[in-house]
Amino acid sequence: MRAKILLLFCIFVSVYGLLLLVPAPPQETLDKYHLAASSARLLNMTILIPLAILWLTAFYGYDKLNSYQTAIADSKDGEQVAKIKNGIFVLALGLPVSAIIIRILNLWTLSNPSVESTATILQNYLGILIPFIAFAYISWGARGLADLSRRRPSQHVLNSIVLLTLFLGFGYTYLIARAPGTIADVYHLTVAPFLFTIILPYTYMWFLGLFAAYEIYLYSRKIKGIIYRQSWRLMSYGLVAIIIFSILLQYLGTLSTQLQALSLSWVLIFIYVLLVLWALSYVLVALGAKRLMKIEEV
Amino acid sequence: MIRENLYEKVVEVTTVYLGPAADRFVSRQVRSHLNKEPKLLAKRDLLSLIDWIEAAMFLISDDTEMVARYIDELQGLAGGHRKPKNYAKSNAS
Repeated sequence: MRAKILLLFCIFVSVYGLLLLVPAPPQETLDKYHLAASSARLLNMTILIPLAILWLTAFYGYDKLNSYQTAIADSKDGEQVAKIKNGIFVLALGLPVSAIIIRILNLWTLSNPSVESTATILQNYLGILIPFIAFAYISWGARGLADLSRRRPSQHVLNSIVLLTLFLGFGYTYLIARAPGTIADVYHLTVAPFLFTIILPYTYMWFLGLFAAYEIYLYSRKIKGIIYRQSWRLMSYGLVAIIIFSILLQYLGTLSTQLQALSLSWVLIFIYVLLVLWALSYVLVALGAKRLMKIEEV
Repeated sequence: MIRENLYEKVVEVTTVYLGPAADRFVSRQVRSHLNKEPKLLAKRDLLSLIDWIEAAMFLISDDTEMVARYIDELQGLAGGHRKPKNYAKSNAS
């Protein structure tokens, strides 16, 4: 992995680690889980380690994809892979950046409860902005690849993706409506801004992501070149998995209230499983990029 | 014009196996092993190029049958057919 990316990773882990360890854990959390402050800090480290592994694999996946794209930069497929690479970069960078910003916002709220609404709104919009930009790039690149393969998703598939997106959007809205507290209490927004600035962008973003995932899958199946297609397969699995997991994690964010009702050990197991699977998708991208790189190196 | 068509024919055959990477792959073999511009590829260079391509393909793919098929098609451009060498077996021995 390039030195710059490793350095960036080390800085992010250090900053986030300090933000986890230095401030005193909130008394509410200590009481809820019957923990001492030192135990809570240790527990925070058990979150940091898998998060750090996830960030490292994301940077690794990006780095390998970047190397491959650099090798084919001047070609038609290279131009489209560049857009996908930019999307993966935004996702990879967004992981530590959003974690750090959210941690700072949470600490700010703990020390100054009057800013809770501002912090909550910023947190929610951050949760949309980063993946939205990433999915827009990936979608743009996926469309370019679809044009290269001269294959578009069929009407049947397009309808299915639209229906799935609508289902996800309505389901998301329903889960939020069912959660304890009103939208104003939880999100500090009235209904109309919430619908148009949270629900609508999420739903559109999920459509972009799912459609891009299918176009990437289609490219890896239909593009000319038996060996090229085989080499693209791993990459396409990784990219599709990254998109699906991003959507899944955004969706599960609505269930955070229900998750809090579970015991601590189950919450940790759930988080670890998600993080491992998400990290594996970046590893798939890296492996796919390395396989494609072989064609460009010999 | 004939030389340019020969390069394009080689790329056309290679596209079946390497898709969008075909042009990059063949031009790289011509430039690095034959030390000439791709469009200057002549029929007399083809056998040598095919040897280099075959060696490169065995680094990319383990599918010896597919590589053999590809090389046979290239040999068709050179006007002959020969049994391709199996670099995987010869490396093992």
